Amino acid sequence: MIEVKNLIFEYPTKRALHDVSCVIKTGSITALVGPNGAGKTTLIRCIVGLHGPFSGQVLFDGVDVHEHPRDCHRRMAYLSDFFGVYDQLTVRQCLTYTARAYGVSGDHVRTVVEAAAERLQLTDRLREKAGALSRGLRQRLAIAQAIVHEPEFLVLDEPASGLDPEARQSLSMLLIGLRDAGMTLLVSSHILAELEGYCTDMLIMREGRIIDSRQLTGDLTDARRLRIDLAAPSDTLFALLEETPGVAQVSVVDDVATLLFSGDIAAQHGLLRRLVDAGEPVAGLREDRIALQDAYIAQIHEYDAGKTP
Amino acid sequence: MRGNPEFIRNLWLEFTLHRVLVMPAVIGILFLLMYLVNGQELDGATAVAAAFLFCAIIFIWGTRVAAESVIQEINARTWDTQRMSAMGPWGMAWGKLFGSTIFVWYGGLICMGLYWMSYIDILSEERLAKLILVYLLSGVIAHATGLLVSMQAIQKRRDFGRVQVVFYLLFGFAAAIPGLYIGLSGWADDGVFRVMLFYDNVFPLIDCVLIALVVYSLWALIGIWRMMRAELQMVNGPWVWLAFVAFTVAMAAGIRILPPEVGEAMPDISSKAYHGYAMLLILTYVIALAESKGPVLFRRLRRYVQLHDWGSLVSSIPRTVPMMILVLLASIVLLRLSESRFTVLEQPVNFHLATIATFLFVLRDVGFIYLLSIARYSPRNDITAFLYLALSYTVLPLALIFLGLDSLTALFWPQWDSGAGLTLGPVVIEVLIVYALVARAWKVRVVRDEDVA
Repeated sequence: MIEVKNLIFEYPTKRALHDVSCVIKTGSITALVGPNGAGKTTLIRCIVGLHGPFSGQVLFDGVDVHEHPRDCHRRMAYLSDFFGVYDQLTVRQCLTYTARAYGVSGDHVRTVVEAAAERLQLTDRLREKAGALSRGLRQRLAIAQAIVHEPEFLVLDEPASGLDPEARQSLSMLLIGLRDAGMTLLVSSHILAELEGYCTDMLIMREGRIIDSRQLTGDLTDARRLRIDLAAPSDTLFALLEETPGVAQVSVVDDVATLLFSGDIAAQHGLLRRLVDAGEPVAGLREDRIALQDAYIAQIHEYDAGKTP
Repeated sequence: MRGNPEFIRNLWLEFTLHRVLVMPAVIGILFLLMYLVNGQELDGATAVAAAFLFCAIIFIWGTRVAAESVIQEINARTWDTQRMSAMGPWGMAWGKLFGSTIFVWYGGLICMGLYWMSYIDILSEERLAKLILVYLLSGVIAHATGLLVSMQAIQKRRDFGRVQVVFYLLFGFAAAIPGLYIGLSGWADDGVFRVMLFYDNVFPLIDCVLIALVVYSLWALIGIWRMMRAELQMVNGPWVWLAFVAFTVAMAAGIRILPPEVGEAMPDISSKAYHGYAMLLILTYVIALAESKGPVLFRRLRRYVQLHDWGSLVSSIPRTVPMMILVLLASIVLLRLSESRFTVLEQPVNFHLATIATFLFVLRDVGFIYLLSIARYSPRNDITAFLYLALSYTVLPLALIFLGLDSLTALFWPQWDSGAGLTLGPVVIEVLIVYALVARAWKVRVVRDEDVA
């Protein structure tokens, strides 16, 4: 979907991005994380074509975003961390304007406006002025504006900032819904615990560089890490797992076993049945998601240690 | 027009029922007051009142609204949404120019209607129509210039307050006043046509002004379109600017501005060439001060040279570079066309030396403007350079003259009747100093900083 190649960006007083390369896969929700000043917003603005890089390329399905910005903008959307809406317009007018600005033709404008309003639960607010909405509702309106033209790629910079816990939960559900509807998302945030709930991939930035790029969850047909909790330690479990098809990288420590498992959900069911039938004291089996916070901290420390002479 | 989302959005914002009713009511009350004071007569006095209201609404209110149209989007953080949309730069240019000012035009047209009513029994319809066109086109020029200048400023800074908007407003006024003044005097109260000489042909002044207003309104709109392209990260080559320069220089060359006795005293140099040359110098200063420049741009240019990417280099190179080449070529042409020395109004003129000195002063000034932009980062670099240059051409040499040190003015402006040493010596030294400083700043801020990065 998005391929960033050797991107360098300079502000008048400093270089903000140093030869950044990364890939954002179709259908993913990628978390872009890093400390303040790491270059996240600059990278995002380069990716969506709002900043022209010093050198390097951003390809959107093979099309250079900086050579053909308008063609790409029809298919993508960006919501800044400091967004604005037209306070004097009604919610319907805001959405109608945005739909038209994104090239939605006259016949379909009403349909897409109402669909976006419904998706963001703004249907009963269509006649209200945007300036009269609460912070959370304005955020919803801004997201509705961003998705009104059904973009393939949606970029959100700190979308949860300033939202109350309920609104954040609602935002998480919305983003998962958008991903399920076929959008690819790039989300920058400081709130790692929330990103963990819905992100499939993670890019970690520090000092204008991508220092780690990893997949957080896999497709169920891909290899994924499983964790088996035991009611009591078992001496036979390691050997049993080692000889089970589709299992690799087995580790058994006290009453916890981890392994890399290749197979679909039916195969996973077969694995569990095999363990139970063999009399292993299995108390639970679950996918062992890589903790975002742990991975982030580990990478930051590793990067900083690598810089130390 | 129905299909332009930006225009429609402005319609929604500007044309509320309340405003639609209030505007004619306020204008009507003010005009009625003038009508009653004038003894219930519609004549020149009520026409002047209508014109005054028009000027207040269109030039003050309208130019401010136009100049603020993009700035307000930036301040309200909605500009990125527009930049990310699929709207083209042309649609955004005219959508903003005419959309943001649509309500102002509503009021302005009501005023012009009252102006027509006041004069229709006094002036011929043709004359009245042309006068109204002068008003309307001057308004378009003011709005377009205000928006153009504010968009040029956006290339350099993103924080704006009232001071900046007033500054852009003044540019709009400055662009509109000559056309308005000359146009309105083009058909004076004595009913006599004023005429002008253009390339030695006689034309009615008001027609020339109307054509010039239309043409420069279009150029301003083209300028806004180019600025919009830049905002949308589209690459602008130098060709449109150079076409504007060629057009404006040709226009200036055709108009007689110098007094006839001065023009006639230039035996071997056409006053047309001199006018064109003067306009070229003005435009060189305008673009040198106005365009974006700084270490990032120069590092990028350096990279294009290293990569032999000549297409990108030509597209990105500051317009000042081709302008300086044009100034050099024009200076050579002037030298070829003219005699070395002649006398104007009993004053001897060493024209060749003065022309060379003029070129060197421009070279020095452009170097100074770029020196500030390369050496330090500040959005105020160009206004600082402008103030320093203004002082160096006015206060400092005048002070020297008052002190009786006339020969030292060779440091500050070209000498017209001195020898080669005094005319060229000081400015050559200044050019060498300025470009030595530019080279030093280049090494530190362009070459070394990039290597460090």
